[in-house]
Formats: sequence, structure tokens, C-alpha cells
Amino acid sequence: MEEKKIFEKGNIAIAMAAIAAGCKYYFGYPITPQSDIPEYLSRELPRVGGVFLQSESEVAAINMLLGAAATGARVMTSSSGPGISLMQEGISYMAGDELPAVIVNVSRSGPGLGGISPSQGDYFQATRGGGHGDYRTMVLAPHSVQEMWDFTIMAFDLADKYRNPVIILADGMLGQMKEPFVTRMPEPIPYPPKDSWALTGAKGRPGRVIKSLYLGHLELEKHVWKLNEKYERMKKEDTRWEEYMLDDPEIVVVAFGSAARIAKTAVKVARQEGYRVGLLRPITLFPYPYKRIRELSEKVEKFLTVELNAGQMVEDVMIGVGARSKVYFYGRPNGVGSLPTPEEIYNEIIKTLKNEKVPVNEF
Amino acid sequence: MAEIARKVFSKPKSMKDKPFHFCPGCHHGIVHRLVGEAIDTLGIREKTIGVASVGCSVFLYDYFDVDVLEAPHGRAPAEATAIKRVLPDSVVFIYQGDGDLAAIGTAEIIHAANRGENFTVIFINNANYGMTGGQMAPTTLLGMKTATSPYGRDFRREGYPIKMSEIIAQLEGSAFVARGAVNKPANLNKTKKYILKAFEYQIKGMGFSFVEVLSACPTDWGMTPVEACEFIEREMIPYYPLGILKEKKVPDHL
Amino acid sequence: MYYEVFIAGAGGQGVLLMGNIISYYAMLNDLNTTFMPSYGVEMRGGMTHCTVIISDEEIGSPVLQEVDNVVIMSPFASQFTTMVKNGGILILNSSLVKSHQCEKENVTILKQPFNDLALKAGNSKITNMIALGYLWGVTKPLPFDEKLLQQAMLGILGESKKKFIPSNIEAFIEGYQLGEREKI
Repeated sequence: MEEKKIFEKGNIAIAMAAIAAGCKYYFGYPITPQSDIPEYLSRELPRVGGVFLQSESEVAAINMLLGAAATGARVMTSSSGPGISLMQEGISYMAGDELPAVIVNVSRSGPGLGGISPSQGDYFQATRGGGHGDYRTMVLAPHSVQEMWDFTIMAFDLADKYRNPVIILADGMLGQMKEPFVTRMPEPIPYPPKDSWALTGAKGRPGRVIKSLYLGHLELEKHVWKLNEKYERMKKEDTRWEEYMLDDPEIVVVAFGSAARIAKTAVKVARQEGYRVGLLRPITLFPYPYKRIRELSEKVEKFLTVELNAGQMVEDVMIGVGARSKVYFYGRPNGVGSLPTPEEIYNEIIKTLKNEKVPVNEF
Repeated sequence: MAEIARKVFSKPKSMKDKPFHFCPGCHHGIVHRLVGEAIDTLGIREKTIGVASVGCSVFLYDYFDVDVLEAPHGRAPAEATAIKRVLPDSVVFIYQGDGDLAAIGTAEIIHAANRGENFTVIFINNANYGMTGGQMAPTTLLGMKTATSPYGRDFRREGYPIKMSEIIAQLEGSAFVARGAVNKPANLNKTKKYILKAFEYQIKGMGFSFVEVLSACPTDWGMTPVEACEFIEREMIPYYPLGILKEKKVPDHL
Repeated sequence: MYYEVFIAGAGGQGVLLMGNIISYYAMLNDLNTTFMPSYGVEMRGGMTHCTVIISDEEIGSPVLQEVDNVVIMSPFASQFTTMVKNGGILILNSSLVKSHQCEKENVTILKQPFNDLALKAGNSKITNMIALGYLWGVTKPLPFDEKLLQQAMLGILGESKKKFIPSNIEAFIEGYQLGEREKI
């Protein structure tokens, strides 16, 4: 594919990247603020010999995803908060079935119908498995339109590498904002061929089954441990994060996605004013960069977590930090007008440095 | 000796040599066999993909030597939709019970039918939830006692038994809809033809094909297998009449 | 290099188009830029706004609390006069915005009747382009180059609306010259 610089919405970057990654099948249900994705793909997928299908619900959409993935095809769906909740049943089955697929959550604010403003309130749902049973999904958190493109392509490779659903956790801001991005192909991630398991009709071979039901003695436990081995491999091989101005910091700001973007401006301003502050931005939310946080906590006394919610990722920061450092939190749990400004975050950094905030890990 | 020994009965080639786990007198085994015979007759084993549902039919993959995907409860029509869209040359069938298709999966079956998805549905109507221990299903007859309608189904409390074939038949997208039973040889022979025809409709690209089969669940009904067959004849068929409800002659075109 | 503008108006006034063109033009100059629209339940006629940032460095938040330059196209959007920074520039479409309040200090308030100017030119659809040109002439986000502007408009409008570009450029230039003459 020819590299081009394009000025488009984050949602469109995701839709374009899916096609570039060889995804020819999309199933989904409209919901704000991600409907640009199905709208774009309904127009473009038929042009590349693919299928766009608007399902009757997100429940149906995720099960269509499951069916298509079972044939070995690359497949994607996208939704937002309430729709992603409806998809959890299917995501759990896909994890149990070991089926690769990409699920995009351009999240909005909740709980319930909540609102359509940007939010990071789906962090727990995305990183803790979300549905029933003992499983995890890989979670990628872009913070720019370029990353909406890059991570979508990576997500397909990672899904195939692990035979596991991969979630792209974006939000309304990243979905709706426009930025220039380059239609580049990231470094491909190798993945095993699918012909040993895909359901394509039992031509010249016995019939195959893809299932998640294991009723035999110790069968399910064995299966769950096998799944768990993959999650352990993800931790070793595919934990990703970005470090920004992290030289010799006195305080580390930890933020992902949109919040990280806003925090970057605050960190830059604080640095310019001589404060030793840096940013750690987790890119994979599962697997989480605990190890890097642990390393930093051996030298840094203060961690300030900034989120567009009432405090979710902060628990992972606490796990990484242990009892070595103090963890502080600043959150704006979404809603119209409550997106934090760089000035706000800057003030929180200063307050933390001046010991005017109470750590959340002092129980 | 060898000359006169003629094999008159064997398992369909598309099925595995494995004894069914179904209860004595259950009709699932018979319907499984009819599906296997249709696959053999049409010579489509190598391109058939089955979708199993949740309920007694979940073990489809233990009996059929074809590729099988297990779907979450009620969702098989969504899985089948996608499989057929990705692999249009395959032959896709789903096999669902009444709890799966007529309760939790109503949205999925209605919309798959309405889109005219080109796959085949085998719908087992045994008027109760068999696997979970005989609870009330949407298809449970009025007055029928089940584990969750101990006083008998009353329309004022539980509504009426739902006639799925009639609903499916009136949707523009469905191409072939029939209701059969296997409680006696004459009905079985007709049902066998319906199932074969349903697959033929799919192969010809005619669109959504749907065969409902009234089936016995003697264990949960608290009857002997013979009594269960008689119950179907006496109680079920009058409410759920047998026959072809719809057969399009030509596929739809814009 | 750093530039920021907030444009607000009613849906259908072409407010988002104005922001889009500025951002696209910045991209053509190999600069970083963000365009953040309001999005929500309102369709035509509702309030709409966008924030555009241009920088030669990585851009953090695409949403700002206060902005150097603010354009208000409709009375619906007058509440956003508070978005302007102390010492910033506030441009009002005086054809529609008859009164305003702005408690910020040292704000340069400029009023131009963009709708009337468009009507005088015989094309009410170019109101937003006159306003964009005016904004450009006053605030000079980047040097004006007609070829690049053409390219930016084509990039945003697409081939199907290519025929509207000449009249839009003409309107832009009219506004631009008006803006350049402002003494601020």
C-alpha cells in the first residue's frame, strides 16, 4: 500500500486501517460516537470484495464476529460503552474458543446510558476480561489518530498471534478528532497459520470443532491453564508503553489514551518551569507495564495517575508501585464539559509535589 | 453366506460411529440422523459447516463428522450468517432447540430469516427446556406442567405457546418453511423430505430454509417413549399443524 | 510555531468546514494540527463548534479551556465568547450577533457582518468563507498561498464539490483583504 498523509477523524483512521490490515468483514450496530466506522466500511468494504453487515444488535454483531473468526477470516466490530457491554458474552466465548478478532471501543461515559462525551470508564471492563469466566483480552490504548491507524493494524496481528480477541480502547475524543496521519504499515508481528484450526468444511479430513464447553474431568481446568499461558506470553512479549520526559523524575504522571495526551502538555509546561516531572503512558492496558512502574518506583517517590474516570487504572499503578512509593489520583469522570485541561493537570502535579494531595495507597 | 448378507441399516457417512447420549425415546437422535442422511444424499459433507446451539443439541460435534462451531445460547443464526457470508460456497446449517431459538435467540432468528440468509435451520420443538431439567419453554402447551410451570401453563401468566414456523414463514426473507414430526413413520418420511429440501434450497441459493420438528422429550414430560409419541399426535400437532408453510419458487432478485 | 482558534456557530453555517480547511492547510505545510469538533445529538440547526490547533511540536490536548482566537458566527453561540483568553482576539459575525458579553481583559473585539457581505456578493453560501478569510487576514495562522488553499479545499470538499472551490476562494480573498486592513 502506498503511504499517504491523510487528514481524517480517528474513527475513519480505524476503518481505513482495518481494510489495510486485510480485514474484509465487519459486523456492527450504530452507536455514537463511533458510527463513522460502520458508515465508512459500509461504503468501502463492498469495493474490496468484503462484507459489511449491520446487525440487529451488538449481541448479534459479536456473534457474527465469532462465526467469521471461526472460518479464519480477519474480522472487526466497533461499538461504544453500552454496546460493548452487550458484546461481553460473545467476547468471553471467543476467548474460550481461542478465536482472533478486533473489537473497537470508542468509549463514551457511563454507567447506563450515561452520555456521549469521552471517557475512560470502561478500563476495568476492558482489562479484567469483561465477561464471565477466567480469561483476558489484549487491550491497546491509542492516544492519537496516527495510533488509531497503527494500533488497528497491530491489533489484527496480535489477535492472530495469540488467537485471542484484541480490544482497541479509544474514546469519543480520539474517534471524533481529526489529525494528519500516515497510512504506513507497522512492523508486522508474525503469527501462526490458521489452517490447522479454521472451519472451512472438512475437505479430505475429519470434521473439526470450535467450542468452549469442557465437561470432562479436569478438562476445563486444563483449558483455562492453557489460555493463561497465552496471557503470560503476552506479558513477556507484548507489553508496550511510552516514556515522555522521564529523565531523573521527581514525580511520574501515569495516564493512557486521551488523558495521556492532555497530561503530556501539562508535563511539558512543568518541565519548562524546571519541575522534574515525566509521563509514563501505558499502550497495552493488558498486559500492563507493571514491571516498568516497579523499576521507576525504586527511584521515584510520587506517582500521579490521571484518568477520565473516578479511579480505575490507578489500581494497576498501585500494584506496580507496591509499598515503595506514594500514589496520587486525579480523575474527571466524564460528562459534557468535564474533560480536564492541561492547566488542571499541571496544578495537580504542583499540588502533588507540594504534598497538598492525599496519597490513595495509604490505607 | 456372504452373498445373502445384505446390510440394510448403517449410520450415514457424515456421522461418527458414536452412540447418542440422548435419553431413551428422545427424538433428537432421529432428527440428527435425518440431517446426516440429507448431507450424504447431497454429497456435501466436505463443505458442510454446522452450528451447534446450547441445550441437548450442543453435542452435535460428537455425532457429525463435519466442521462444527458451538454458538452461545440463542446466537447460532448470527454465527451462521457470518460463516455463510465469508464462505458462500459452504453449506451451513444450525440446529437449535425451542429455548434457544424461540426464547433467548428470538432476535437473531427473526433477523437472519428476514435478511434471507442462505442457510438451513433445524428447529427442535419439544415444548420444554430439556437439558436444564424440563422447565417451561415458549413452546410449552397451555396447561402443560413443567418444572417452572408446576400448575400448568396459563396464558394469563405465561402467555401462549409461540408458533415459530408461522412467524418465520410470514417474513419476506424466508424461502422454505415446514413443520414436521418424527413420532410415526409417515410423519418421519415427510420430515426427511423437508430436511432434504431445506438443504437443496440452500444449495440452489434460494435463501433462508427452516424446518421445525415436533420432538418427544419423554424424560422431562414424565412419559414412556410411546406415550410421548402419542402426546405429540394428540396434543402438539393440533396446535402446531404439520406441513409446508412456505416454498418460494424462484430466488428473490432486486 | 503555535496557533489556536475556536469557531462556534449554528449547524449548517459551515463552522466545521472553516476549521477543517485551516487544519488541512497546516498539514500541507507539514505542521502538526488537530481539529476537534463538537459532536452530539444536535444535527442541523443545533449549536456546533470546533477547536483547531497548529504547532511544529507534538500537540497535547485538542480541547482547550481558553483560546487565543475565537470566532462567533451565530447568536446561539454567543455563550462561547468566554472562550477567549485575556489579550486574545474575538471575531463576531455582526449580521447575526447583535449583542455580546466578554469579561476577559484586553480582548480585541472585531465585528464584521459576514452574512451581509455574502449577500452583497450574491451568494449566501460563502458566508463562512468570507469569515475564514477575515480570520486568516487578522490572525495570520500561516502565510496565505492560493494554490495551497485550493488544495486544502479540495482535500476537504472532495472531487464532487470541486466546482464550488473558485467561488469559495474568491470569498476567502475578500474576507482576507478585509482582515488584513484591520489595525490591531
